[in-house]
Amino acid sequence: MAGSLQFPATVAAGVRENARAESAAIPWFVWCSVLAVTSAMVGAHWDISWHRSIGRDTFWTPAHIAIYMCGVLAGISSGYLILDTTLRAASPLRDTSVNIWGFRGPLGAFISAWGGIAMIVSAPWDDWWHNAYGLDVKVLSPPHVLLIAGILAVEMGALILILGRMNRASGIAREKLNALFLYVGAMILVCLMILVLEYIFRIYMHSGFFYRVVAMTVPGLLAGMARASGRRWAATTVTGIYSLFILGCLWILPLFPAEPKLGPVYQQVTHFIPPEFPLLLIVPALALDMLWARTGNWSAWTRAIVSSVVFLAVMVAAQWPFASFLMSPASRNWVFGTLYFDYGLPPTSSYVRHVFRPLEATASGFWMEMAAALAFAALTIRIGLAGGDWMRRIRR
Amino acid sequence: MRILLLSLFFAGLAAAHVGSPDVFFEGDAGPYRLLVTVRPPPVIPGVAEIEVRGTSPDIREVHIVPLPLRGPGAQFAPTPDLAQRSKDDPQFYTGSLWMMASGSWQVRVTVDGAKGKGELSVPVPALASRTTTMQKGLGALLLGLMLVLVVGLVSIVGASVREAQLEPGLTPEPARRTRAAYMMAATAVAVLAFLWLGNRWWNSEAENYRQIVYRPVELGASLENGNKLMLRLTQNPGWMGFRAVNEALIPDHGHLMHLFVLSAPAMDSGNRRGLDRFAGDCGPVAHWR
Repeated sequence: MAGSLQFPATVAAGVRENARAESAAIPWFVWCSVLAVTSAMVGAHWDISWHRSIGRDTFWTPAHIAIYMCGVLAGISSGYLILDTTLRAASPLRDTSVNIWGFRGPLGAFISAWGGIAMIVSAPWDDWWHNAYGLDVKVLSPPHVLLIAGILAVEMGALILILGRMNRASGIAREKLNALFLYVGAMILVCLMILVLEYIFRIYMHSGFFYRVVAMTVPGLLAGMARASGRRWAATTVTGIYSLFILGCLWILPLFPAEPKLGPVYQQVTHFIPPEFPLLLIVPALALDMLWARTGNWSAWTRAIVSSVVFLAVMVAAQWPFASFLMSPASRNWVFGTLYFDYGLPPTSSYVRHVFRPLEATASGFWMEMAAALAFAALTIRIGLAGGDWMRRIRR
Repeated sequence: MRILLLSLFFAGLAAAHVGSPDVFFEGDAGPYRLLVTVRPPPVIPGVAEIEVRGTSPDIREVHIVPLPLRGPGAQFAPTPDLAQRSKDDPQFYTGSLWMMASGSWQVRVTVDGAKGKGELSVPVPALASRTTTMQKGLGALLLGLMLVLVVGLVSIVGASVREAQLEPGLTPEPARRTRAAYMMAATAVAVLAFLWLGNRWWNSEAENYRQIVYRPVELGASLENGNKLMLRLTQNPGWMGFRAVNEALIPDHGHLMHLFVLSAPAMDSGNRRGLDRFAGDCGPVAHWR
């Protein structure tokens, strides 16, 4: 392997012994990391629903606590890992750790710790931002970007933490870790969809811009996860978990009462407003898994270009007619959730009137966006494949 | 002619004046006399502080709710808040309300007591009134933590290239260390570029906000055909946004503007006109003398 030396048989035996000892069980700090990323995503969707249903909040709402618990749990698990590995000479993790500023620990622990610090730094900055420029009504402001970067870093840290052990494990232990790896990948997908939430509403689903946003965020992640995991249906699993998570939010949140505390109130709200029906990402993911199973010996760029065409074509074929269904009266029920509106949506809005809002004024504008979507899909898939190859080599 | 020139001179300098940002209102909510103070937030959206004092002790509960003064949102109130009764003064109530958009709002006060229910609406202008800078201490703290994050990120990238792919127990060879150093340098450049872009974004948000901070309306005045006074907004203040003037201004008992004309220098006779457009017939100038 490039970059490593031939090591004597005793060291090799030690590595195998290490792997066997590690493979016995999934340690508590891995579960702690998985719980951290789950808490962040539950909290984020809960908070968005809170703002759409009630409107105003304080710092200590349950949704905010769930989000910041991500940083707390990540801090606990990564802090333990780094301090124990650094201070205890006999720590079993010493040989599988990296060295940063004299501190030792798994690479994933350092990434999670970075994410936790970023989340903490964002809090006082966000509080100042509200006092200076007003209480925010949009997802993306500079402090929120830092918060989201922190959450993404905690998720990446959990991913790398699992990867290091997974790539050293075998048998049932590897399979368990692989499942957790794909689960964390699904939480990253949930986070990315929150990042672009304002651009993927159903009223935009007949615009090229919608498909460009999806092409920029989704296929690269799926490519990287599938490549690193090696599982036959990795992309389908990731998008399946994403879909189940969003469906859970869609069907559970409206069970709880809520009423608007902010004006103007244009829509009568009596329960929490949930997110929209999940995007049908599972359909192009299935197609990609089938393609990748048959093209393992292709060059990376050929794979990326063909995959981008498959992804976009299948995505449009699935989402476009489904979007039409979502605008129809048949979808206005608790299953598909198109009867829920934020309290602040005026009755004249496209959303309330169940009509599409085209973002391109001309057909040529639409096709330019679709061409951009194809280009971004190819580029991000290529980057994802490279990232997946890098993740396969992670050992610490 | 002197009067005309004098009125044009002062009209040319005319500027709207808001006065104190706090609203002090005395009125009746049904059978109850109330003194209401509303302290609007200095930034919008923001939290307004409400104080309600009843002049009689027979009030049981006070509810408060914010509404736009007019428009579709004025018809649909959110759930009112229960104002908190002071422990020291049972006739004094306080509460906080969020105001989410610039414009003309009302705080509706609903009272329930021994004499039944009553309601009172207090008009409140909700306008961003100030800009602010970051306190030095907070700025220094955030800068320090940001440096930790930047150095940490660069170091993590270095460690991931240098060691993360090594089998357990091995140490990185010189070529790997060199590659890690290059990646750390590239990451540092990328992070600094990202911070520069972030700073531009912050400045852009600050400028957008500065545009909506309240500034007095400036009027330009001219006299046409000898008897038609024309008043024009010479500059649209940013807080009006893209609204037409007649949407941003609220009529006062049916009129958008009141014009007071006084004779000079004695100031002992005058005329008052209510105007519904920014153009009015002043009548013959001689009439003013």
